[in-house]
Amino acid sequence: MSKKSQALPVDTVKFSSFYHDAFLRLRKDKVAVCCLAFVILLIIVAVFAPIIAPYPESYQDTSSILSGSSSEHLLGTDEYGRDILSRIIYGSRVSLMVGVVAESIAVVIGVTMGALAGYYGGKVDMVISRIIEVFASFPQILFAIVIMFVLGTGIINVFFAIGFVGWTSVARVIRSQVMQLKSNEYVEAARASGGGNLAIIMRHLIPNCLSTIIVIITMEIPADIMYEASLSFLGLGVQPPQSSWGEMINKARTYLRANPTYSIYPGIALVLTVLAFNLLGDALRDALDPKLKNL
Amino acid sequence: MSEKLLDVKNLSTYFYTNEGIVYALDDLSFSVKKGETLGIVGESGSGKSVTVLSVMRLIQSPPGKIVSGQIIMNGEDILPKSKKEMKAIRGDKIAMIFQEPMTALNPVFTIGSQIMESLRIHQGMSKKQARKKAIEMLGKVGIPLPEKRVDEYPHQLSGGMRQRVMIAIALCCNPELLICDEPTTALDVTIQAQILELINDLKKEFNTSVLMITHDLGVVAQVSDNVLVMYAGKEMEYGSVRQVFQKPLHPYTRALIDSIPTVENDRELLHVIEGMVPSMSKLPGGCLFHPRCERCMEICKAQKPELYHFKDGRRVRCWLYGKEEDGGDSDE
Amino acid sequence: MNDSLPLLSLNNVRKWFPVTSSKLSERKSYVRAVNDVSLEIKKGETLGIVGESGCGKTTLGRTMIRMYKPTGGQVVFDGKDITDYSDKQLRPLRKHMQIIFQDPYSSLDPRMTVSDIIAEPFVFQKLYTKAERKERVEELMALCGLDPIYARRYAHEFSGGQRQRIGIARALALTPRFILCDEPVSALDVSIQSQIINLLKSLQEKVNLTYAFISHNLNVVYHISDRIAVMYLGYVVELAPRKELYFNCLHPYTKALLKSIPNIDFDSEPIKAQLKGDLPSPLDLPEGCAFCTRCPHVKERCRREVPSLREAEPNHQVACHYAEELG
Repeated sequence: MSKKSQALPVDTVKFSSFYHDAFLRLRKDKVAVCCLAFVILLIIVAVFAPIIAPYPESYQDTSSILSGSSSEHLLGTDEYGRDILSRIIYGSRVSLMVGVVAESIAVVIGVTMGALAGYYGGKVDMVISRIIEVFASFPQILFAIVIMFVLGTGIINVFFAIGFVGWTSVARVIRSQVMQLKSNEYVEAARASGGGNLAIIMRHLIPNCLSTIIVIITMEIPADIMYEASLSFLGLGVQPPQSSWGEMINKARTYLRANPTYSIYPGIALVLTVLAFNLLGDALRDALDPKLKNL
Repeated sequence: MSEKLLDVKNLSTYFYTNEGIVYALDDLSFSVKKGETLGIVGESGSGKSVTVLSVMRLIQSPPGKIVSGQIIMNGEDILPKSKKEMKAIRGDKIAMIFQEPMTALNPVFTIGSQIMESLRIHQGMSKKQARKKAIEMLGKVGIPLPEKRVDEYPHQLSGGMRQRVMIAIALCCNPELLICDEPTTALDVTIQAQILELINDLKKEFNTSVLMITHDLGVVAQVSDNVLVMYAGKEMEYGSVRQVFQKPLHPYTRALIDSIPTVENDRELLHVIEGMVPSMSKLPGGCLFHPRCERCMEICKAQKPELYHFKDGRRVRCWLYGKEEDGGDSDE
Repeated sequence: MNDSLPLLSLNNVRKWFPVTSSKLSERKSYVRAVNDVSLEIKKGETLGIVGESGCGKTTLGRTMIRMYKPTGGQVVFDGKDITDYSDKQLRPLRKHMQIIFQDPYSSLDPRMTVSDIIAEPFVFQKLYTKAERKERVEELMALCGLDPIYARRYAHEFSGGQRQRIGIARALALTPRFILCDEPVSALDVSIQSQIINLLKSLQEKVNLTYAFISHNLNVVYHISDRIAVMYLGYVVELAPRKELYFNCLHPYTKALLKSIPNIDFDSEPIKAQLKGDLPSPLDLPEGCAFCTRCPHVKERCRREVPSLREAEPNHQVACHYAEELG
């Protein structure tokens, strides 16, 4: 076989993995880059909170209660004299952890159920789809509240409640993706080489759903953060003195006249975070797989 | 000598992509006379589909752009025409049939209504008149019991039937030019024979000129009068089908013909064209075919050959030809 | 070189797919994809299987290598009756029977590198150490005309022809004895087809392979096969050595098929449709010969009685009641 037939124009192909290509596409979208920067900033803030925050979370400066912005307290203080900026910074930890942990739980349950339903079809699909429908037909926030009543309050329980409630959307999407993917010939090729069902699902089907999973995670995280905020707002989430943005907005209601900015700043933090994740999710979807535009 | 229906001059279409400019078509010129069938042959990446999409002004812009040239239809250049004017021309004066009849037909409309749509828009027929004509057309393309089938949906028909419906839609307004983009590639060989025979019969009846795009040399030989061989966006050879297939001039044409397995070409290893079609954004210097050409000379690597016109109308783009003693002259 | 025992034999193999109907009252109907097929493939031979869409060649191929379980009949591979083997019993056999696919795009996992794709059979069969696998992958790539330095690339960086070579390398990984080639060149450009066909032919000698080559392209099949089986609506209608089939075909369908190929020979007649109408639905086959609805020579007996595949001339089998008269 002459060399000519093997020749790949090496110069045209630099290191080109699938994710590298996607990253290049993402880089072109200015909005996406901003959102990505914001998310990274948020992560840094959350991780290094004890270093960044000017005051410890529960430090009470009794000399300034419900004060507005000052040189000592950039965003003012709450009813206990705690620095709002610091509490917002610590609160970012809660939001991010909810996003990551709750969503991880949702993804694990959702991908498993969706992949099994999509791959096996038939009776398995029928049973799992009915289960999905039952879970999905509950209004999510109500369901989360019920779970919290059962499990009790506290941040760990919040993770489970939200994760347990949010898996259905993941499952549905993964199910339809797997149903499409399983008709690809590489699945047949794997079977022809002696691959078992589980091996095929793990090696071929789920990795090919990875873009979808990343996009879903990015778009569901804002929803999860909002649920946590709602739960904390209702008093069911984090317990004092731990701060979360929802909890702060809740408490601030009573003191609106005294210090209106008390509720506004955490609110801004919440809105910006949700917006950033949403826009990033959109852009990631386009960058990872332009064919997913209808997701 | 019948007059020219379509005269394409120096057509260049480029695509501006993230990876660079793709020179899909470069300085292409050809013409189709009234009643003639021109076959355009090439492999993937040759630019044959881009050619007809450019003629129909259906290039997606961005990223594509018809950069230069003229497309003269009946003496009038249609490139400067507005979108509205082109809409009136498509379906009426120029019609097209595609490779995949299932995706070209709308699955939620009956086949009758899809034929009628064209009639009502271009010829202003009433619903009743259009339906009558639609049934007539279905009969003409060989669909049995057309009065019944006119209300059926595309999924109720077989692949061959759907292709016939496409032909009916294309010909119902009696276009002057019918463009067929790989119309039989997706069909079985016995159905393909039916469709090719149908196209041959109908073009005589309707006196339509045909532009047939295909990679199948056999199909070209069966339906075309003349053939244009394309490679990487440029014309390589042109002549009558008999001339080009019996005595191919360009090494690419020759290699293409030789690499088709036939019953005569027996038992040895098949003739192979080494290498691959070049990437459109990174074309080789000199003659585009030189890296794969068996008869590559030094000049081929350095300079692009011009199109050489023979006295009998044949054209070839190759450094092997172009001496004055052949009696033709070089193109600029 | 050719042992007396065939490598693969099919006896009255049938593969029907049930169609689930929405109405409970309707009787269950079946898509009769493969009907009563009996044939043998000898060691080292290439059996070509041709037919148009709906003829069942793809289903037959898959049933041959037990990717489908036959609804009836027997599949015997290397002397063993594998008709009723379970998945577990089939797994070790997968080393001996492999498949090359038609579509170079959907047959390679876009998320895997070339070496992962080629080495995957080793993973499933638990063969070789990591270092051995690497070496083996490079050997296979070189064997198929691919430069081993591209082992870490992803499939989408290669052209159609090169992807098909990757697929062939994967099929060779377990050193099979039999390879089902399911339209391996149909999706490729003409100039690349010849490269791949040459590769398959040279591999057959080098590695001692037996092929079943499925295609709708009669010229390609002629070139690569020793014997050819023509299928129509799930039946094998003619089976003969290639020259016999092409120059002395007996079945009316084969005749029509050969005449329908457009060629560039200007001294022959221009193309004319040989058959009218369309294929009947495989849900609703005629009672007698499957071809009776379109055969130009159909007689009463054809409509009532299914012709069996019989030897009309030495080594030349036809399924037609009147093959001798028409020949």
